[in-house]
Amino acid sequence: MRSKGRLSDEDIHSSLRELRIALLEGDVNLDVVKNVVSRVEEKAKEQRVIESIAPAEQVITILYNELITILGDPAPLKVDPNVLNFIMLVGLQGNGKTTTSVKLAHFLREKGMKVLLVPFDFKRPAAREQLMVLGGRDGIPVFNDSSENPDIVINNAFKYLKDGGFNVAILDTAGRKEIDVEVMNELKYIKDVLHPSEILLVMDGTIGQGALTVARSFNEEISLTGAIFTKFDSSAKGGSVLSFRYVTGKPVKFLGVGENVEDIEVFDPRRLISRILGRGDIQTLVEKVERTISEQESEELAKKVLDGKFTLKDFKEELLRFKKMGGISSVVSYLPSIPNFKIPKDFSDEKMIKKMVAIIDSMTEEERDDPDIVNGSRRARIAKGAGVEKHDVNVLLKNFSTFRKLSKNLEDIDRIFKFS
Amino acid sequence: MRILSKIKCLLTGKSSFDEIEDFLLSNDFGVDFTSSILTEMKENKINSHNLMEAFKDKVEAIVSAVDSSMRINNIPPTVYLFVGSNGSGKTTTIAKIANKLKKNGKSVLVVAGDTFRAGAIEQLSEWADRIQVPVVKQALGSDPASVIYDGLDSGIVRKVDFILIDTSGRVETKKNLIGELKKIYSVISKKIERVPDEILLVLDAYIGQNALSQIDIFKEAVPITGIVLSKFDGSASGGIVLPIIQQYGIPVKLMGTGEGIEDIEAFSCEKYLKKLV
Repeated sequence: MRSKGRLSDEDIHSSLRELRIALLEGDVNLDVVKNVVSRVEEKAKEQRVIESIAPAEQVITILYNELITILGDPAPLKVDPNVLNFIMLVGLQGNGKTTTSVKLAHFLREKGMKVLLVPFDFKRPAAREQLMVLGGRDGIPVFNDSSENPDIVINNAFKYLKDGGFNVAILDTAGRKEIDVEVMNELKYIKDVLHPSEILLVMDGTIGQGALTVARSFNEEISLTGAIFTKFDSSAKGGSVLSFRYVTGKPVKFLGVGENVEDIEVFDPRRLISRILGRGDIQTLVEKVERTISEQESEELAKKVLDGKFTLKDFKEELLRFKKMGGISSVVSYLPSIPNFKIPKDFSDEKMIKKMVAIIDSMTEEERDDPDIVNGSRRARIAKGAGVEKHDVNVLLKNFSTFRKLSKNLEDIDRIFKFS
Repeated sequence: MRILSKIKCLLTGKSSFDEIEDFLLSNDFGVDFTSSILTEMKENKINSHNLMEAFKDKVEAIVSAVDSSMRINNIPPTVYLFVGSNGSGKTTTIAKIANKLKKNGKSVLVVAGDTFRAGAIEQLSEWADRIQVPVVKQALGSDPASVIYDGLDSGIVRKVDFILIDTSGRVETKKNLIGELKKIYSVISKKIERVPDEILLVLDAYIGQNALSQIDIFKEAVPITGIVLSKFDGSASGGIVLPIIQQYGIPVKLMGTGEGIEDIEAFSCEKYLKKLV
């Protein structure tokens, strides 16, 4: 028998202590670490012990899910092939803007875009030369205008882009300190004139705690659309990605992983988390833990069904699990096989599951405990609350009673056996 | 004052030790260094109101335990080699030092040993033109050891006081590039019949815990004699250099304090602390 106790405070704390250190040594900003750790702690306290899984593994699974939530969904580059798109790269000095702009041009050209590189760095000696050489090596055109007046460069480049039928212009801007007001104003000006579809912060992946301040400042000043992190071919853990995402809410789109033009990768949150925590096996672990938890809960629900204590609340949990894990860990698979029982077909439809959950959510506690009291007027109210038709409420109640009947059936089967 | 701070502690439920821990961690001092400092403070029963003072004393003690002055050879030329990861600020640092030396009446020659990065040779040449010092260079993609050999040759013939050698940026995971550094080091040592007077690792003040891996691997290849803390005028203050000094005995010698050619200074513990605290 598995224990039903909660994870102990001691287990939680010792696991969290280790994870906190891993995050800090991985250059995740302290504010972010504190916030994440306290959320994980709260959630861990709600978790029941699962005997086959070490408490530390349960805690790491919760952390993994928190970090995945922070890192968000993948966000592809916003480039419309039917118009001229401007992509602006901004960032601190020496973080890899120029190299990245060529890599990005290469990436977009592979996707069939016609790309022009536009050097927009009037400060660093030989910045334009660097771009010319790098672009030239890869056959990517570089806009070559020796004017040092941004307005003139913008005007000339605009004409060149229109005439040449380009899809994308990548602007390689000068490196700047995030605290430098004057150069920030220059960026704002370029932004207002060109309306770039992407303004990406290029940030060195080896950056430490300061990533938070840098990301915040750039985002506040010119409202970034995302970031590209470089030097991921170093041994740095790259926790700065989490700091960036946490403080800006903007997606990280690519990682720079080397000095060659093709060394650019689409960002994958799962790999970043493995890297920071130093655990290549983390995805497998998380899947194992979640499956086990789900199995345990299903077993418990199955027991409720058998005892005739299965309520609409349990039904909602079952629906959510069905959505997440599919049929494998459904209650049904934990019940003795019942002739002629089929999982309601609505279960295979994610939209239907969402609808059913919404209906249960808009019921009162009383109704959930005893669905038999749901009459016409209650039905209308529930439907309205869930934003569905009255008919949908009926479907839900029917599905629920199919499940509940399982227990009755089982009793029947029992009786049959007893009397035979 | 004391009463006020006590009340503050009561209200926030935080001890001053927690505060100093947060302060250290959020300035890239790292987990190990932070916990060792805290342990030491607790063992020494430092009054919780004097923690910041105790911290400053600790920093001063660590910094003064090493020699932060730049070595100069009795017989010229003095040779400085600059190494580091990509974008840390090697080329700009060299230009600044060359400028400073020249203003002090010294003759300087710079060597464009970064033959890999596009634009690096042009960047150093342009700086050299501006401050009017000779530069030795070859074409992009040529063997850095060979350019450096030429540079030393030329500097010795011209009898310059200082030779400053630039190298390509390299991340510490690239074994072949670290190997290249060893070759450069041995070429220089053979040519001048002693080790370079300074081998300076240029570290970006924004860098996090990766600096430790960098040191580990770079110093395996060449004996790092000091650190140049670049971009010290930004919002970051390079907390990681303290554990580096303590753990490896490698001093911070210079710091880059701005984008102008004049913006380089000898490392000052006072300025470092002033920015930090």
